[in-house]
Amino acid sequence: MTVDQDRVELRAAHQKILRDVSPAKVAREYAVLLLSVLLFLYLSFAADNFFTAVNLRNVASQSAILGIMASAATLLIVAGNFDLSVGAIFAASGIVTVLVVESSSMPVGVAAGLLTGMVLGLLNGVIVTRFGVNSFIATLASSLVIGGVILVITGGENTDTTNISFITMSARQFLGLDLMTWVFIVWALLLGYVLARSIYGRYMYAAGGSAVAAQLSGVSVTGIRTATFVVSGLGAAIAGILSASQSGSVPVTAGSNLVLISIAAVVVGGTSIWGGDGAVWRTVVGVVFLSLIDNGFNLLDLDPLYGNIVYGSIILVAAAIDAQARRR
Amino acid sequence: MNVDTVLDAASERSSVAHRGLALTVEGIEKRYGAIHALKGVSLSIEAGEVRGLVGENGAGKSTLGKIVAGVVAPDAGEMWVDGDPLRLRSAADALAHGISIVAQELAVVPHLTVAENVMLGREPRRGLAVDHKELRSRFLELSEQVGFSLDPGARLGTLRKSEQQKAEILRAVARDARLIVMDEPTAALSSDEARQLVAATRRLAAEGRTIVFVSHHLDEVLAVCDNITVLRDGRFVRTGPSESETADSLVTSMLGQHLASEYPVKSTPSRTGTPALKVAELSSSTGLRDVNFEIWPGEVVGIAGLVGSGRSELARAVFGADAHDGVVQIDGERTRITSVRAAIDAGIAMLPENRKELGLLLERSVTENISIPRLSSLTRFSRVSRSAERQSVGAMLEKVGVRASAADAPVGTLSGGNQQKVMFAKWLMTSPRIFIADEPSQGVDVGARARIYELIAEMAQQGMAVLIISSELEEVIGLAHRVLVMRKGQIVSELADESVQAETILGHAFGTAAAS
Repeated sequence: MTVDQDRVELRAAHQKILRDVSPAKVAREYAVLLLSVLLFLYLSFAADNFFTAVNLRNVASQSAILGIMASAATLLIVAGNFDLSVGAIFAASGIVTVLVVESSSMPVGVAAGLLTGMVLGLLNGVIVTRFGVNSFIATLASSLVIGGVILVITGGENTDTTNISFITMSARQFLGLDLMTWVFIVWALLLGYVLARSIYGRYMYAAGGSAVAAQLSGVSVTGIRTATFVVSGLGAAIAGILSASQSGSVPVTAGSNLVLISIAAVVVGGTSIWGGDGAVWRTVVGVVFLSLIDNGFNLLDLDPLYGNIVYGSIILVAAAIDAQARRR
Repeated sequence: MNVDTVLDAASERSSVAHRGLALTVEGIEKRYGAIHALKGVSLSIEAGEVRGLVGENGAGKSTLGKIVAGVVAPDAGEMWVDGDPLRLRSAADALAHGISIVAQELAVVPHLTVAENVMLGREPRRGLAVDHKELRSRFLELSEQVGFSLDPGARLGTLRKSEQQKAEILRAVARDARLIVMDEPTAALSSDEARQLVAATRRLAAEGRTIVFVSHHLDEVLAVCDNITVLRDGRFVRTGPSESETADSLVTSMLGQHLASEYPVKSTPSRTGTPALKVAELSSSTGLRDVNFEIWPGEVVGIAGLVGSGRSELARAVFGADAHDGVVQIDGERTRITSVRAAIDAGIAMLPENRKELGLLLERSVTENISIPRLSSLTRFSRVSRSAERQSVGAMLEKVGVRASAADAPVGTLSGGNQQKVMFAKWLMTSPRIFIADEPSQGVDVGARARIYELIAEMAQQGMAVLIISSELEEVIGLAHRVLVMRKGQIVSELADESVQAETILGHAFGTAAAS
């Protein structure tokens, strides 16, 4: 009986909270979701070839690379850090994979690539958490170092492979979707579960919400933050390997354009750049939204020159909504 | 021209410069999410008046102060200044109209000097450059006027919080504010500093400025204010002249019923057998030197001392938050406490001072805040069991007296008293044997305070060893069986039972009493 009373009281409190939320907060919570749906409907009507299995599969596949990196970035940002080295790790992992595939076999190559990403992520994590270097600066520096090492090793040349099983890997089909898309789906579900349901997710929210309070509650802030850097490195490696498999060739600048766009996708989805608040599903929505815009530009034959203007404006609006929602 | 006319002219000038603003607000409404902070408050303050705003935490007094100073925008309501309607868009806008706020949360630039902070935006110029000599002399002039002594060249960030607060007050005066809102100005100050501040406030008022004084400390409010307004639950209750008020009469209005803050009856601890906690030769880089003490199950031990005497540092060292040397024994067994995790696992809980900065994740839910130190016990295969979590948190909320419907609310939306109860729930959930509470009633209203005192007494009765750190001597004396007095990182005296008296404690804290 008391349980019922509590439940009634709880429901009343929920309804009150729902009534009282500020418009900025609602916008931050659900705006991108709504906009994505609207954009989807619009494109379905405006472009003949949008709502076709081929095109939608294409959109999913093209979102995969960005989505894998942005999902990993979500955990890192929630825990209170940034990683600007994911572009360099993307390239490094791709190159290592290709080199090992050429000299050994595909499975060994993929494993080597994944390991590269995790080790580089771990290094970032140790530098940031143990030595207290600001993550922005630390990962900016490490991305320069990694990029430099890549230049030394490759001499600035693309790293290529003709290994058939590797270059067809990412396009392999399962149940109508290619491997890229499947990896994105599984990765996003996994990270979403970790953040929303697991004890580690709670610790990430705590570390990002208030590092001191978390530490005084017995949370190993350095441990959990280091773990998010490893996840970030692993995400970049997975994306880098898939991308290498897609083109069979890794340029030294691979991934550099993905760094800021993946942070942008996180913010557009509604995760707070200040840490302590956010979700992986939001990032997935953000990624889909940005991909739909890309796709729309293609299908409607708009000048891609305007793409950046649209992208930039959307990111600005998302960041402004975030700032407004935070104002009390 | 005789002397009188010169003086008259001077006083006229100064009275023009400082003529306070008359303020009227009507029907002020404010909501923060689910919290209805102000429900149509109206009041009128005369020019040159010192008006106190009192009420329990969550009564809306700070919110009202912030609205008057333009920091927070009201949802509805009107405001008139000197008879003219005024709608403030920001704190800067308020400043332009002569209204300034000295807030609990300081807004200082840590890397600038005291003088530069005070004169920020008002720097005297010589050409394009700041005239530092003139800046310094104006600063000294101001300090004299207000009666503070601060080193103008010190970097503000290196100073104690109380001195930063003084700089903030000087800044308001430097900007010629004619209405100054002081929001809990003495919260971070020692009692001596608080007295200075009260005196300074009277001087500002004597110059003709209008002052709105928001505070928990009823004795200060009674000492400094001309009139006092009581708010309760977001509503205006009444306004009365200070002479006809007493702390009791104010508390009665604040609560709506008579409830004096009383300390629960002390139990008698046995102090036999193995101490729950024994600390020997404890030293730390944070300034602790050779600290030794014991505490038995069922005992409440108070730690008294001046600000900076090492009280919080002692708590942090025992709790594994700071590195330390020395021997710690729990239930007679030597225990290495190298981290907070190790301390929690060994049965130690610490409720830190300043819950907003050190204790709570303000944007996360009450449930998440409470479960975090013991989350691993609610987890299977790294998945948090939400039903188990809800159940144990619910039990704890009931124990500390927070309504169950608050479980999903962000903890930052609760009143100070409820936030502190949530902190108790969080640490009780770890079933500690040693409970350290640093300033357990800081920023808490009278009702919640009584509940917290009861909790502490209950905890001791159930066999917990409780360590209380408090700047309020009365609280230490009211709760503790034994008091350890600290000075300069050492325990200088230990007083038990009948010898626990205010004068003795203060004597040891200041170092004027003979060593015992």
